[in-house]
Amino acid sequence: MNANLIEEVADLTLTTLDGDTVRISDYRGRRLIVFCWGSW
Amino acid sequence: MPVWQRHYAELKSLGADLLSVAVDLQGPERPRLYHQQAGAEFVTVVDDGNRLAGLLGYRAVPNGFFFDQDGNLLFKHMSGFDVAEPETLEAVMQFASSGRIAKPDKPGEASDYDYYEQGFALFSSGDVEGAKAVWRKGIDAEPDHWNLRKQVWALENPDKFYDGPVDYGWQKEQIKAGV
Repeated sequence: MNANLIEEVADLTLTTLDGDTVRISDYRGRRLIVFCWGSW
Repeated sequence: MPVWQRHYAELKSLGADLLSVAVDLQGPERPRLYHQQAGAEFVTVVDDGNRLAGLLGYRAVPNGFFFDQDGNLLFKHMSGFDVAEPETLEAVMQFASSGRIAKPDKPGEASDYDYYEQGFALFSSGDVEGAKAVWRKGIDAEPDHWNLRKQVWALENPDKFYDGPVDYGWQKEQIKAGV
């Protein structure tokens, strides 16, 4: 994964169930496990 | 989801965190049920524009991605990432406690996401039938694109997904029938 793509992933704004926003970069300083799933 | 919640306090105590990403194209309502039923204390986001999936290059779930403290992506497990499996749980806990990765990436295939995005644009504008038509084309082109296939199934057969537990027996029948 190239550096630009890493930054793009880190800075992507995602919307929480409560309508707040969060970015992967918000978790810097901690190890982060992202798990992706679907309700189907 | 409940398994993640069971281990969440320990993960936090080790200096790690969890981010749950629901890939549902229908928005937050369905994922919210799962999140609430699990009593989840971690954050769940909805990647309803399929943007994270596009960047990280997956077209089926469940997947896992491990990022270090500096935000570097160290490990990815594409498809079949199930923390209820002892091996996966061990990899998660080892990473949380030491930052070490237990095994090499389990890669999936990258692809373009035109069908997904085009369908989502139609779905968002209220054209559900148009969205399904585009997604069906995507399924024809890429039969293993399970995010698309299951999304279409869920829209067309909500009783198999949302009236109680997901009916996996029904899904197997659809696969066997080539739907």
